Amino acid sequence: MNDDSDGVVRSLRELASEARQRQGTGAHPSPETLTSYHRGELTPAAEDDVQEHLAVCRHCARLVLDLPAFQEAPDPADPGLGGLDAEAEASWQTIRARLPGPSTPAGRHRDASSARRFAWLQPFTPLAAAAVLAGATVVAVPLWIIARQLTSPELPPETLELSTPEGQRGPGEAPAAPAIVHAQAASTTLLLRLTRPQPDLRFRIELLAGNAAGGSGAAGAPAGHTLPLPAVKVVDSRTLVLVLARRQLAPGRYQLRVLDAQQPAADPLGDYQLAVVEP
Amino acid sequence: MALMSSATDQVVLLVERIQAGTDYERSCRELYHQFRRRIVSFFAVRGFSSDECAELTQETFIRVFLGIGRLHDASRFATWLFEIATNVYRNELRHRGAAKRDAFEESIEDLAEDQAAGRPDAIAALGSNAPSPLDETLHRERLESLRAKLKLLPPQMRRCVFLRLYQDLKYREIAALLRISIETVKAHLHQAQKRLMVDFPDRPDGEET
Repeated sequence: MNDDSDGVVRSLRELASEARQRQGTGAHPSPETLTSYHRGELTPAAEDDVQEHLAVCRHCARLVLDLPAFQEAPDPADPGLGGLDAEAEASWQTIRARLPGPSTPAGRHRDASSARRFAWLQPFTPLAAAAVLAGATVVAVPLWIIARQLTSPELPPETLELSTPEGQRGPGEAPAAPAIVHAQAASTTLLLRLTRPQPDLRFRIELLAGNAAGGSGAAGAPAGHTLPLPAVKVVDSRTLVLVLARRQLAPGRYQLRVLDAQQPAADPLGDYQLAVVEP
Repeated sequence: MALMSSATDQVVLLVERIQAGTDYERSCRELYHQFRRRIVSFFAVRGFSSDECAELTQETFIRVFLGIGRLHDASRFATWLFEIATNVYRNELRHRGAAKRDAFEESIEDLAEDQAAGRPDAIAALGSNAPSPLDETLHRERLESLRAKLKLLPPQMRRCVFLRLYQDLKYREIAALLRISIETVKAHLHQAQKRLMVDFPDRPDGEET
């Protein structure tokens, strides 16, 4: 090799190093990409990227060049189980010790073992499936109805429109006649008219079993007990839509209050009485 | 060919047995012994010591047997094994620091820096051939000139130049790597030689004519 060639090689080494820096020195195509490249399964653009990398990366170039020999069928001259050397066998034993036990190997084998272990449950499988389906229906259907009603631009025709009567703002006031909610309805949509606008649209909703005036409590719930918040949608600063699922309301009397989230101690924005009744 | 097909079929059978949990331990053991040498060689040619090769081979097979349930096509076992070995290899390089293992790729400039820092190994490696300031200037000029000329080459021709001169690969290796014919490689290098106006080193490797 003459001096000129030495200089070219030296310069190429630097240029290759620069190219690797541009690609990111730690960035290599994944092994899967390299094997796909070797099989000719990449898009032209991806293939171009891989070739650009291979030109300047000895590691990946060597991997691709080694792949064909690696993929060849095992050499029949390789020692079979009858001709193992001690080192290979010792190494296997080390691997074996680090693997899960024979009853719980990885992947499909583990699945197969699990299937055998729970084989006695097979006769009950249809029953269990039916129970799961029924449970999912009980929970999912009301939730679906609520979500549908909240996202629907139109309110359902059976919507109850509630507003706080003038003069009944204080907690000591006598309650107005409650709105009737049928306990068997899958859900009940309430349109709540507030007594005053709430510009920042931040509300706190309270649903209490029983009413503040000491009315009859809901079955199984102590008077004044706060129930989980129902789903609510803000229409504007004076109007809310609230959907009650059947499972939220046992028959009985309830007090529904809408408060300013910033000033919950102030007069409520809405104060409504509900009576959940059996049809 | 029939022999190869038979051997491949046997591998497929072993993989399917392992996945099904049929004769699990014996099948794992047989598969391991069929491919062990190949994996040891994979790491050995990449410069690992025999102890390191044994350790990395074990690591590879543990990953194989833990993940074999995810292999959908048993006939692709060898390729999949290769991908796992490559991941183990790259992880090992990351852990140990690629710079150490790539010492053979250290540029002369790096050695010169070492020399300036007073490291005796670098000085010994350089001997009395340290480039003079004039050599350095000429090198810089040649580098810029080569960079400009390389930019004008078609991408595939430029890659052939790098693979031949930088990676020192044979024509047939370049052809295999870029999935083109040996004649195309030769034609690219011939054209590149004229365009770059440099003499490519003539390395007798028993196949190039």
